[in-house]
Amino acid sequence: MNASDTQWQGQTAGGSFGIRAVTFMVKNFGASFVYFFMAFAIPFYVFSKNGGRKAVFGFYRRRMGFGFWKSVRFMWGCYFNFGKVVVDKFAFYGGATKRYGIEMDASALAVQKEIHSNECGSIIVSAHVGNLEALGTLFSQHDKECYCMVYGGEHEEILKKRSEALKANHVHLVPVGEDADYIFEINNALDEGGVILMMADRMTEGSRGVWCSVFGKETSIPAGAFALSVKMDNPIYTAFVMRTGHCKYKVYWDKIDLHDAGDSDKDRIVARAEVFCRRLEDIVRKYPMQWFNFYDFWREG
Amino acid sequence: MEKEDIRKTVCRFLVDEIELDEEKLTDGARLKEDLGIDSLDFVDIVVICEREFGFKIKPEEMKNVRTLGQFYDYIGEKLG
Repeated sequence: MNASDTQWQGQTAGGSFGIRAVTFMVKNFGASFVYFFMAFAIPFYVFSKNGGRKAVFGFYRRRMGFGFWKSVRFMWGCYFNFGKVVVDKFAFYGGATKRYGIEMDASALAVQKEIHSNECGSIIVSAHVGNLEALGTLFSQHDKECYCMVYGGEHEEILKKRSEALKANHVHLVPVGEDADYIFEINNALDEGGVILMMADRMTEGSRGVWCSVFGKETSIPAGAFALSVKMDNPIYTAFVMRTGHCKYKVYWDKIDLHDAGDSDKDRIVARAEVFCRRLEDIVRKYPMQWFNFYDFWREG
Repeated sequence: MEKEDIRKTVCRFLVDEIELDEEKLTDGARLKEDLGIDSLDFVDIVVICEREFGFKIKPEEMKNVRTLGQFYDYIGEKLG
């Protein structure tokens, strides 16, 4: 199996009208009001051509080992959770954040403090779980600039709205294209003590992968974040922001701290990727209906 | 630094660090299309430029660098 066989082919949906409408409704009527109407749209996504339901069902059946009906139930639960998270994301873009609470325990607070006090740049690696957009609100509290890598498939209006909403919170969106311009931007950002945010659970065209075992089966995950950390000698952290209840999220920050300076670059990249995969597995097992990858991650058909 | 020294230094790291075939390292070789240099290889190139030549690559400066020869010229300009 080639790494390119595991590429994500999807695109995010929605537009600026959607964002404005959701923001208005959340601000004036509350998130539950929007969730109610969103629920009617979910079946269309489940049964749409690019909805990824086979992949989602297959994940619960084959990787999590659930029975048939449990897999069906979790699949629907996953889509409903995704709908709620999308509503919440739109609300964040539109500035309707007052209704939301973000929790961090002592260890996460310590990691956040470390990232913000690092003089050198930091790399944060995450996945399409929970609602990472909520992390953007945390950067508004400090002067740290955050550069979020954005991959192909992002709807143009969504990207524009995200960009506007996040800029106020010191978060900048950096499109990852076929040329290497973003690498030079990343280098400058790290040099200036900035924070780079990258996802590592979706292969896209042109990206180089690392083969790792995830939920018991080998697959290719993007090597970028881990390679940057090793080659540019910057600390790397995992971050997941998970939905814990109605308008409530919890942040899980953790450093990838390996004392392997004597190993080869390739081994160090693989070691970091493996730590990320273990943490991804842990967070998905804890919140099994919040991994919104929606594509055939293991190319199982 | 003379262009020949720049060429030798760049070729050495392209062969040793990025494991490219030395025979392909002609001035006209296109970095991406002919040499297959991808974004992660550019991470190595950024690091090596800082280490060997003492300067940081800026995104806007590399926009027109497509071939190995252009890359040598770019380094030469940066070194003055």
